[in-house]
Amino acid sequence: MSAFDFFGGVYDAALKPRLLLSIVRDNLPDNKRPFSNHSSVVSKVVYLVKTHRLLSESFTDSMDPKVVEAWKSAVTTWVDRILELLDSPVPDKCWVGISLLGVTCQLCSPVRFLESFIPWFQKLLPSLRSQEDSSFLKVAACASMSDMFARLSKFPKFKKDGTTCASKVVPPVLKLLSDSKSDDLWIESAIAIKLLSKECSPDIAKKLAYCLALLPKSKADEESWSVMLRKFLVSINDQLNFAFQGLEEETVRNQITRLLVLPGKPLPSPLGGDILAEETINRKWSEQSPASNVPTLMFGCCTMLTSSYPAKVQIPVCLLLALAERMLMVNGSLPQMSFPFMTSRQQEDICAVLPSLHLCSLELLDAIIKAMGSQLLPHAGSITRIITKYFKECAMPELRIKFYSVTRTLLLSMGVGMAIYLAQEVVNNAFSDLETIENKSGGASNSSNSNVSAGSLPAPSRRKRKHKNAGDSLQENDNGGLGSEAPVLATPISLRIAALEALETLITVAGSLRYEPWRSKVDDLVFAVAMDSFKEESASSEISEFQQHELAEPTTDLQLAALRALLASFLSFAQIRPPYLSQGLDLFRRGKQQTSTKVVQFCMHALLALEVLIHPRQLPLPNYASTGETQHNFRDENGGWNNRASFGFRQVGFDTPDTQDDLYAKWMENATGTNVSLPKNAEHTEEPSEAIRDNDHNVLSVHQCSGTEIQDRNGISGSNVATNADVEMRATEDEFVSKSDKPVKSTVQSQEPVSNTTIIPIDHEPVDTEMAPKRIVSDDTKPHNEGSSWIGLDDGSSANKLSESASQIRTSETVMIQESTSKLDLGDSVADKDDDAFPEIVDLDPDTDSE
Amino acid sequence: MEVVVASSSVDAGIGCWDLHTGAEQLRHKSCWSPPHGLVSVGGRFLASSHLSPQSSGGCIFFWSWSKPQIGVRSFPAETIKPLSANHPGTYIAGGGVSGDIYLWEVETGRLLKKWHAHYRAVTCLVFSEDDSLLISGSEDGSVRVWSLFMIFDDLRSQEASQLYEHSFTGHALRVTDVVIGYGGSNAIIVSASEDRTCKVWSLSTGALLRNIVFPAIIDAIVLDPAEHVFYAGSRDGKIFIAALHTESLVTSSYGMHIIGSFSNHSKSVTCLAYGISGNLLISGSEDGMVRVWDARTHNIVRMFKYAKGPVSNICVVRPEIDSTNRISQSSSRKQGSDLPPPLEKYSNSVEDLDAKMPILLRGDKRCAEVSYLSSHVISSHINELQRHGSAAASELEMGKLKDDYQKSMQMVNQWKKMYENLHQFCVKELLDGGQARV
Repeated sequence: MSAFDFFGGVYDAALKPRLLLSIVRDNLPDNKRPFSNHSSVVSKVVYLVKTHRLLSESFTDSMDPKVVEAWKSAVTTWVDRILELLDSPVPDKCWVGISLLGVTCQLCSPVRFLESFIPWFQKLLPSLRSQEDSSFLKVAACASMSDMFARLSKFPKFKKDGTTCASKVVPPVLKLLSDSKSDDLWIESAIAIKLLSKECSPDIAKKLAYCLALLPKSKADEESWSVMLRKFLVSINDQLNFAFQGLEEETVRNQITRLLVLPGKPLPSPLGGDILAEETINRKWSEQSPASNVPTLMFGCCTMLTSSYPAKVQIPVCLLLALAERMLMVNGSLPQMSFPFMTSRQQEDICAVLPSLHLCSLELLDAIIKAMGSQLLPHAGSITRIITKYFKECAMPELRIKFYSVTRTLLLSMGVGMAIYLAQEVVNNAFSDLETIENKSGGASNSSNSNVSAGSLPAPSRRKRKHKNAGDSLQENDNGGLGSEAPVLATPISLRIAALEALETLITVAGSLRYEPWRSKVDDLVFAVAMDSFKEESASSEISEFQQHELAEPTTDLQLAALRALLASFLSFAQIRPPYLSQGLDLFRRGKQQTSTKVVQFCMHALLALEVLIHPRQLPLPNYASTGETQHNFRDENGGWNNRASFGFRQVGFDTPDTQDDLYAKWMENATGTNVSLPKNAEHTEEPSEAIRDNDHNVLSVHQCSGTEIQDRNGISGSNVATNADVEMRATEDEFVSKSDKPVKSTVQSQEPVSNTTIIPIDHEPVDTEMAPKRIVSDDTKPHNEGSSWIGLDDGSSANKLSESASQIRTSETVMIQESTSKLDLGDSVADKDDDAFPEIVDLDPDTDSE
Repeated sequence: MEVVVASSSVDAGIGCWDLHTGAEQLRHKSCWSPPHGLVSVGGRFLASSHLSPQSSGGCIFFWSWSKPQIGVRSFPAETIKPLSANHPGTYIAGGGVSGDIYLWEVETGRLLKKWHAHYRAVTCLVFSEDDSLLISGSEDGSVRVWSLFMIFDDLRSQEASQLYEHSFTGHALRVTDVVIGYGGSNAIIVSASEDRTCKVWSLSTGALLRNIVFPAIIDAIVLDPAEHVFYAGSRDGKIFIAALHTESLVTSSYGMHIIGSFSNHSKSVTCLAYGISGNLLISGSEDGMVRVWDARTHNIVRMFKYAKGPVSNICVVRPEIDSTNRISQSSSRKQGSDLPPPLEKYSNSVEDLDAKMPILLRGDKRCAEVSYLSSHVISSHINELQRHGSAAASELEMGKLKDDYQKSMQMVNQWKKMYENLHQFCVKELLDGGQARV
């Protein structure tokens, strides 16, 4: 090859054989040359081979046959050299050979691999077997062997060869594993002994448990799976029996044992046989903390439950649930009668490991839910009870995070029906975890929040958490300014993220169910947290560089979680307009300008998703958008149907007697739960009654001549109905109309110094925002339809519609005011009122419209 | 492959056609199914309630996709008309003529729950999108929404005043069909009744959203997947299009919210289905024809000749033939069939002892991407070597040094030898030279 034989750049295939050859020539050692500075050389070789795909031999038709030949021979040279190195007596060269053979297995062309994997395997095997080789060589040999099998797994046709090879590998590997001289151990007990012997690190133990869990796959029948699971369970149970002595009731233990024993079958032996189990248990107190293997074993259990299996298997659900609950039940306190059995040292030991036990029992729950899918249904009730019962008592952040994640899994896999059950629980817990933020942000939802939590959260745990937080939150408030110390939050950020994620899931699954006294409070909370996350952003910028680096990720994650929950909350509104929409949009816009790509990405997505909410699509069906009448009603329609805001119920009102309008509005008021009363001026309270009467009249007239022109309304509204609507609104609620562009809070503060909430603007916000798109729509549609027969109807219909909407607004407004005034008397029993109101309305609906 | 499955209340078997090629598949035998009585259980097999003219009681039959004969026969406690299966095919719900609803677990055949749902016979049953709710319609005109959790949770159902989540009592006569749309808790429920109305209900609020009066009795409804409209098959042979999320005609010739209609049926439309992938509407008629319409243009795309008698049920199914064969090969060899056991007649009270669930564990398919270790091992080893960290590393270093040492020794020996040689040579030369001079 001449020195001036150039090729066509980095993508030219001609480069590859030449580069490979020079690597072999210059960088790889051979038997004669001594080999120094191997470390950097080898990594460079691997890098080059990988990036330039030098071993791939990916030939295309257009390639020069000379190049093809050259490449083939170059790879052959490379392989020969590596095999030569494998035989080298010098350990480091041998190491290079073994390692590079693994890389070759991964990267070489399939043809070459299939041709030569058997000779390669035979070359590798001795280095696994040999006794005196250095551990480096053995590790490298194992890795290369594993790579070879991994590659082989992609060729199902060669399964047989693979199996024969594998059977040869097993004995030496087991020997490596056990380090013992006896050869006749079988895989399971070898792994089990290693696992239970407590000599291995947690990482290794986990891998061993994983191996055990996958072991039944080699037989792929139901029996071996069940036996393995049962072995795991028996081992766990034995350890727990020993560890929980004196900490739990005898009945619990008996129940588990009863479930473990299959009728007509002997109790399966624990992992690794009885002798081993005895031995380990006997050694336990002296050497190790109790039940230290349980998490590992449980991990194996969960792996069995969650990984795929080719045959159908029987899952002993009751047993698994009982086991999970048993572990959660023990909280380290001694039942009165049993303290003679235990020393305080033992109690100490147990309490030290309890969190990890609880964690793994939650993992077990998670795995059960995932494995069972829809078939969990008959047991869903008991799972819910377990979660509800222990979630409240749990105060450790890690465990609470896990609780949240289990809850999310449950909600996602079980859907709406489950959400009805779990909603209150999730909301209560999320409030207790997120409340510090709320206190800081001050105001928005304080009162409503305490309303929820005081009502339903049990006192003891609440006090505990409060107590813990009290000092912290004080500290926290000035911390941002100090800058000397990272803000110590009462609840860790990860926990808050978990709580937000759980809320998001809840809203996604069941955001618009009627069982939602919690809904508005959650919206308040989510919005407050999202606002707060932006405040925190600025606060953290004052912290020194070093700390900021540490904090940046979690705070971004928190912000992201908050924004996600906020988006879910906006999108899931069905009955009313989202109260915080305008401020929320602002948050998303601000988020778009941040540095974190994740947040920016999400905010873009959120704005896109919300755009549909702001401009509801009114697309006609392709084959029916012909007549003017259609248009007319279409516009009637989209106000109602697409948004299902208060207009939506007018739509219903067409079909139903108008007495219902009132009821619906009232019901709406209840259902949305924006219920905190506030003192209103006397003039306002007087007005509604008038307005309502007036309003009923209007609605009635609309009903009577729907689809035709409305004489009396047209007289007033004429062509400029839009302004008319505004005027009318102004007449009833002038301050709300005027404040529509201002931030909500300020209005509240200026208006109602007495009230401690921002709830009122929430009620009215939808009305304000509603008007704008409405008008835009009516203006927009005109040009599109010009020239059609529709024009003739234009004025009348739009007038009709808008006057309807105007009156409709008034309906909701006024009824709401009436509501709020009546609530003044009711005082704090608002929540109760909600609950009572639902059934009543539900019963009424069908009756009244059955004509 | 999408398969249109049709059955009749007069025995003409179960007809199956490939929706896209139009080829008729296997015809399964002996099926007298009442309306809403035919269901595909998770795409794995067909189940149908059966009202045979000979025997008095009703029964439920299973057919596997590959065999025309009845695979499994079950005999429930009373006559079951409507059947429904949840989407994964793990539960079958059946509505009895007494107004009871039965819920069976498919794998074991156990009757898990039975509850009194309506005052008169149940006419239709449907699972919600997320399978957590069951919606039932009855001859007494009521439509009820059941949360299965409530049904299964004995404690809560005892506390609650009523089992159902919603009870819609708007219809004056027998409910003929119920469908539920998408959207989780925001979904809509549409019910049709012999009182010539269809009503749209909100699942979230329980409110009646729309009442549509039709010129004829509607026996079948199907939602447009995007829920712009729904199609209603009437007894006068027309398929009406009713507006949901779109414009509707106030003064249309048919009535409020009815956008239009199309028809090629001489006789009444008994059932409707929607083709999952092709935007196709499939209708079954009393004249024994199955018609496939393009949902956009309302032209007939295909016609399947089913039988002389009326078509009572149509489903569009994606049969899971391939995967089941592969997965349950071992088990099917044992049992001789891939069908589950028959449904039990009575619920077993001692279920707690035997609370095991046969479940097919389907992990995520990650195995496609295998992880390779060598390069990691190499880099970690190199790291170790560079830091001279461990005993193993020093061992390797030692090996290398030994090798070097040997090489150097060889070299030394070689030099020595050369030196010897040279020395000898010189001495020899010297001696020889001296001799010569002498």
